[in-house]
Amino acid sequence: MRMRVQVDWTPGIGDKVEVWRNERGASEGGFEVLECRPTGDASLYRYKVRRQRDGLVLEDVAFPDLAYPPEEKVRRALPQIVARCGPVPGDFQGGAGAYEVKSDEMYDGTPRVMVYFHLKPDVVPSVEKARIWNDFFSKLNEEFEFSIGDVGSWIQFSVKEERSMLRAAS
Amino acid sequence: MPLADDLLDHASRLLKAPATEADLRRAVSGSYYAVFHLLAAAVASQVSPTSPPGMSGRIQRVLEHRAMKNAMEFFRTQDSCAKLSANIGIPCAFSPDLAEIAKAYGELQDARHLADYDVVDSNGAIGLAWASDSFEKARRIFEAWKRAQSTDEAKLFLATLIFGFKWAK
Repeated sequence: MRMRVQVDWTPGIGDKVEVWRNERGASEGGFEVLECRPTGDASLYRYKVRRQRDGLVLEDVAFPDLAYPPEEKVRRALPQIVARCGPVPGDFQGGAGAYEVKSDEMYDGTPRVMVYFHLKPDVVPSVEKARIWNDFFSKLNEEFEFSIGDVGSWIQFSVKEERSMLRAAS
Repeated sequence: MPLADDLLDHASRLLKAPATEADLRRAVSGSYYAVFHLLAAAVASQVSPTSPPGMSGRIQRVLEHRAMKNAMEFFRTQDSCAKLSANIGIPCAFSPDLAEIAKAYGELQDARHLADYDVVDSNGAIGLAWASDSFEKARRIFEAWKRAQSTDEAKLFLATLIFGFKWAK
């Protein structure tokens, strides 16, 4: 089965991707990229992918939208977007543990991708600090809309305390 | 003081010196309801005559929380706004303020459910940061509404809160 793929990013070997027949079509399911070869056209690549669940191998996958699941798409885009929106509020942790990206659902079943920024352990949250965080989150949100548009899920930015100040005090 | 302002003020006071987790939960719930009543009062003011007495209050009771959140989806992006406009045949320019309200309202409503119903808190979200963040969202909605309320888009926004998907015929 051959499918022509148009994507705005370059999947790498080992990447887990989800394939749709087209923008509004049903999902073909999750696949793992096994091989990636350039073609004569510099902008075209040929992928060998394997279905994740039943092991069916597809040599090429016709006119799908090939995309990472929303969570992965956000995770990959986030470092660059955060860098563009800097400076990052000083209350947030830096380095590898600065944030976590997680898929879940709102209470009514709306899918969402949560991006939690971890607060430094000594930070005492307050309404004034929340104002600074929300300014930063607004910038991230605008940049997401501008850079990658609709990722097919609700993206929400929030902060996470290492532990609740109230619990810490008790 | 209108109920909406009163609720927001109450949430603010709870967050100044929260003593228990219940204070945080009430602050989040109050922040959400402040926004709900702000918009519900605006809807009633737009559609209700001054008499008979009590009619405005009854109209506010018609509004449904989840339906409001879903209706606001039309105002979150330029594409969805254009779609609404095409569906109802009335021009609707994209408003960043209404988009901000739509997004923050959904997030706040979700936080309210966590605050009022989730005793397990499996994600460990409930804390002062979460409550402050929710309050700040509510405050921003108030500010955005103040800027947007006199625009034609805001009038469409309020009508959409009542009619939801029904008027996209």
